[in-house]
Amino acid sequence: MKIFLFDGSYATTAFIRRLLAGLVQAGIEVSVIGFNETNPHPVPGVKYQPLGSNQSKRRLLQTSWNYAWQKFSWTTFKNTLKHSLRGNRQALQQQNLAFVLAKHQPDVLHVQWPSLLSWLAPYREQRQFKLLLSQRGFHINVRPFVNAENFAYLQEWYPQLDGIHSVSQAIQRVGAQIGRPHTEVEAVVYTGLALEDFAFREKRPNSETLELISVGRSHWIKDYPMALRACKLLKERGLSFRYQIIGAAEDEECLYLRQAFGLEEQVCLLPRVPIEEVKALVQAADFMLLPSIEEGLANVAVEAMALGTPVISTRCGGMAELITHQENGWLVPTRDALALANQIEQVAAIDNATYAQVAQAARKKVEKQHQEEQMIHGMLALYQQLL
Amino acid sequence: MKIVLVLSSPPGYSETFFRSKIKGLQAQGHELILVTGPSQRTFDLCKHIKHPKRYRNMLRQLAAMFWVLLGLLPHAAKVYRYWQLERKQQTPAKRILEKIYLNARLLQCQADWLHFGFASMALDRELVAEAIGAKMAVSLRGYDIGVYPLKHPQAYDLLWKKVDKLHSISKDLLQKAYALGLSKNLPYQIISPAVDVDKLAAVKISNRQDKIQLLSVARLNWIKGLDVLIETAYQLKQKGLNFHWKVIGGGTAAENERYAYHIYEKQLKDFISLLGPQSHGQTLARMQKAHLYIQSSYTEGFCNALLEAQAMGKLCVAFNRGGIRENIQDNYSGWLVPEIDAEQLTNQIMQVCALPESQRRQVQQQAQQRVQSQFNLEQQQKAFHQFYTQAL
Repeated sequence: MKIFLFDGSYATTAFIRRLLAGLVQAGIEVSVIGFNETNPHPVPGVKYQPLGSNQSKRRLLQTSWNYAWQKFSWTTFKNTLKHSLRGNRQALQQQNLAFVLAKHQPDVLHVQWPSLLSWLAPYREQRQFKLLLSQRGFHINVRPFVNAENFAYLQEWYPQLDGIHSVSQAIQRVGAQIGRPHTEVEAVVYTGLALEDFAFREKRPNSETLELISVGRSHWIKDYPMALRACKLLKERGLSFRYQIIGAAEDEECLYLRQAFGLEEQVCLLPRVPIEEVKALVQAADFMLLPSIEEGLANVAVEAMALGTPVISTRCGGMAELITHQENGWLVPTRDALALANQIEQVAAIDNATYAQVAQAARKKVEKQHQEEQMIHGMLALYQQLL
Repeated sequence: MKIVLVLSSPPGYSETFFRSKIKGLQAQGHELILVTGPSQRTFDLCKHIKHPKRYRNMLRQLAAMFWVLLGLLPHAAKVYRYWQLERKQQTPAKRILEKIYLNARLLQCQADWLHFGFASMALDRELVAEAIGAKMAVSLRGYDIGVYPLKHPQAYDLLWKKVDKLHSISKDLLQKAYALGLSKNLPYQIISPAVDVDKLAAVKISNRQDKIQLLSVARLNWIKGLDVLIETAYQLKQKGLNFHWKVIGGGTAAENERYAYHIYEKQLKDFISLLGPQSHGQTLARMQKAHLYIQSSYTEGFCNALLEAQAMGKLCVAFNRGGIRENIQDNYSGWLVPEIDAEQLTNQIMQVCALPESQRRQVQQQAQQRVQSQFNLEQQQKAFHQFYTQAL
C-alpha cells in the first residue's frame, strides 16, 4: 500500500508526524507532498516529494524544470517555459503535482485540510487513487458556516471523496451537515500519543498559589480573552493564582486585556517554546485551561491529561468525548467567563485525594482512547477500507 | 511659518478634521507640506512629497539609493549633522545609511516645524528635526499610545527626549504618555477632533412603531469590542427588544470569520449586519437613519464617529474608557457604561429605549449643543494656529 499525505508543507504537525512514523513502522510506503524542497526535521523512512517552493522562486524553478526534464515531453517543456516566464507559481506547482502523482501512483491520497482540495480539482471526478479527507477543526466547524461560498464548494466536493476521517465524533456530525463521501466510508480515529514520551507524574496541587496554564497558537478561536475575563473575576474574589499562556506573547488583545484588568502579576504571556519545555511547564501547572470556542478535539488537552495535569475545558467540539465532567476533568460552557471563574474557584478548593483521583482518571482515559497504536491501526483500517 | 506634516498616507477627502486643520493654518499664512509613504493618491490642499520606496530587489534598491543620495548633495550639511546625531546614539553606520535613505525627503526640507501625525510615525526619525534645524511636534493617537507600547515598552524613549511640543487628542492619551515616561515639563496642547456641525443635519426619527435601529462604526479589530457587542445583541434579543444593529467597518478575513461565527452561533443573523467598510458619506447617511449609536470599543483615543453621532443628535452609549469619557458627558450628551461588560451595556440600552420622548429629546439637544460649542472646526483651527505660534 502506498500512502501519500498532503499537508501543504513538509513541516507537518506533531500528530501527523506520529502517524507518519507509525505507518512506516507498519511497513507502509509513505510519502509527504508539500510546497517545499527541504525539510530540516524529516521523519525517518518517509519520502518527501517537493511540489515547488512557496518561498523561493529559484527553488520552485529548479524543481519544476527537474520534473520537466524527467518527463521529457515537448508539451511539458513548452508549458514549463510559459509558466516560468510568466512567473505563474500556481501553474508550475499544479504541473508538479500532476507529475508526482503520475510518477508515484499512490493508492491513497490523504488530504489533511479541506483548503487543499482546490489543488485536486483536476482529479475530482476521475483519478487513479483514493481520496481521503481529514476533518480536524476550524476549516470544518467554523469556516463553511460563515462563508457561503466555502460551504457550497465543500458541498460539491464531499460526494466526490472516497472517505472521511474525523478527529472526533462531534466534528464528524458537523461535517455531515456539509456532505458525505460517495462510498460512505467514514471513521473517527482519535489522535494518538506515544505514551512513553508523556510520563504521568502524580502530584499535589500547589497549596498557596494556583498554577494555571494554556498552550496554543494565538488565534481568536482559542478565546484567551474569555480566560482573562475569568482571571479578572478570580482576582476580584481574592484567589491567589498564576496563569501562563504559552504562544500568546505577541497577542495584542491578550496584552491589552492583561493590562486593562490589572493582571500583570497574575498572567504571564509566553512565546512558543520547544515541546520538552512545554511538557515541563504543563507538568508544573495544577490545571490546564482550554477556553476555546471550537475544537476538533484538542491535542494539548490529551497531552496534559497524559502528563497528569487535569483540564478545565469549554464544552466545545469533541471535548466531551475526552472529558467527563468532574470525573477526569471539568467542562464549562463556551464564551462564559463567569462559569469558568466559578469552576476554577471550585477546583482550587478540592482536596489532594480528589485531585489525584481526577488526574489518574484523566490518564486512564488517554490510555484507553488515545494510544498511538490505536491511531495507527485506526488509520490503517480506514486506508484498507478505501481500497 | 513652514510646517511639514508627516503621515503614513494622504488623508482622504472625507477627513474633514484634517482638511480643516490644513485650510485653517493656510488661512493664517502658514505654509504646509505633507510628507507620506509611497502612495498612489496625491493630496490636493498643499504640497505633497512621498518617502522613497523600499525595493526587494537589491539592484533596484541600490540604484534608488544612489539616486536619492545624489539628491541630498545640496543638503550635505544637514545630512552630516544627522549622521553625527545618529552616531551619538551609537547607531551603526549601515543603519544610518538606511535611515538617510528613508528620511531623505525630510532631510531635504527646510521647515520651522516637523510634525509627526502619530508617535509611531516618528520612530527612526527622532533626530531628523534637530538635523534640519526645525522644532519637532508629535500627535498622540489611540493605537500609538494604548497598544503599540504593550509590545514595545521602550519604543518612545528617544522620542520623548527629542520632541519639542506634544499634541494630544485627549487628556487620557496625555496621561498614558506620562505613564510611558514622557516628561511632565514638556509643552503640550490638547486639541480634540472637531466636526463640521452644519454639514451633519439631524433628522428626526421616531422609534415608537419601527424597529429600533442601532449603529456602530467599528473596524473589525479586537479593540472595538465586537464580541461584547454581539453578546449585547444576544441579551437584547433575550429581553425581547425589537431591533436591528448595523456595524460599519472592514476587517481581515480572520476578523470577519471571528465575528460572523459569533453571530452564527448566537443565531443573530436577522439582528446584526456587518456592513463592511463604507465611505464617509455612506456612513453619515446610515447614521442619520439610526436611533441609537453604540460604541463598544475597549478604548479610543477620542472617537470621531461618536462625535459625529452626537452632532447628528443620536442617542449615544459607550464604555467609559480612554478618551471616550471626554467625548461623551455622561447622562448629559449620552451615556457611559462603567465596565466593558455586555450585561451593563444591555441594561443601559434598554434604559435609553425606555426613556420618555421628552428626555430623549433633551439629551439629543444637549449633545448637539455641546458638540457645536466645544468641538467645532473654527476652535480647532485657532488651536492649531496657537499650537505652532505660541512660544515654547
